[in-house]
Amino acid sequence: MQSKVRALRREQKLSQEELALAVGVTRQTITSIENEKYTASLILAYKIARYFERPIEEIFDFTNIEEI
Amino acid sequence: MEKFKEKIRNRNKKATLAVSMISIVYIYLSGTTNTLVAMNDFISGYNLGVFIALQISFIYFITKNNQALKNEKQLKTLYIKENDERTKLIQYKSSMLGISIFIFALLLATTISGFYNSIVFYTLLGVCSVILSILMFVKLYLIKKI
Repeated sequence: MQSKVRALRREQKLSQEELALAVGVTRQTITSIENEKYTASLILAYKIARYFERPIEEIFDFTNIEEI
Repeated sequence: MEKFKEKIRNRNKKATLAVSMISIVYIYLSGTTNTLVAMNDFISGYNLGVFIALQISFIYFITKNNQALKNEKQLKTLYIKENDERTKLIQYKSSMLGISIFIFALLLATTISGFYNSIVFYTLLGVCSVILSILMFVKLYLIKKI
């Protein structure tokens, strides 16, 4: 899933480690989210959104979700 | 974090109990069965190795937890490491893949052994049945629980 996590993190001059510590995950999880290898859970997406003070849908791109 | 601290303390209590129980069982078994069963050097060496490895692992585990309990930063790192959702997903997926490969290999070995040795065949068949039964019961339990 595409996200703006990397852009927002760089905007705020944060390291992956700092963001990871703030939202309670490992640095590797943040790396995977930024590289679109891992999709954050609803709780983690909420924590990230709350940290950046933005709505979830502004950070994570839900347009490519498959419809059944 | 207080809840997690309590969890760590409980874990340490259980680990200490396990260390003591393993020591008692090992000392008891090596004191009684060695004289009854003709144990060769390899088996006794293996048993001693497993015993020492278990003791070292538990002591390392307890020490690591005690250090974390005294240091807030270490405690948070431990908490994150244990609760990281990606790590949990990796563990879940690797377990599923690992168990599938293991069962497939076991079934293959059971079939092949049937052509050569009936004792090995029935032993492997028994192991397969036990593992598949456990998996089935765990699955049924989780279906009801979640």
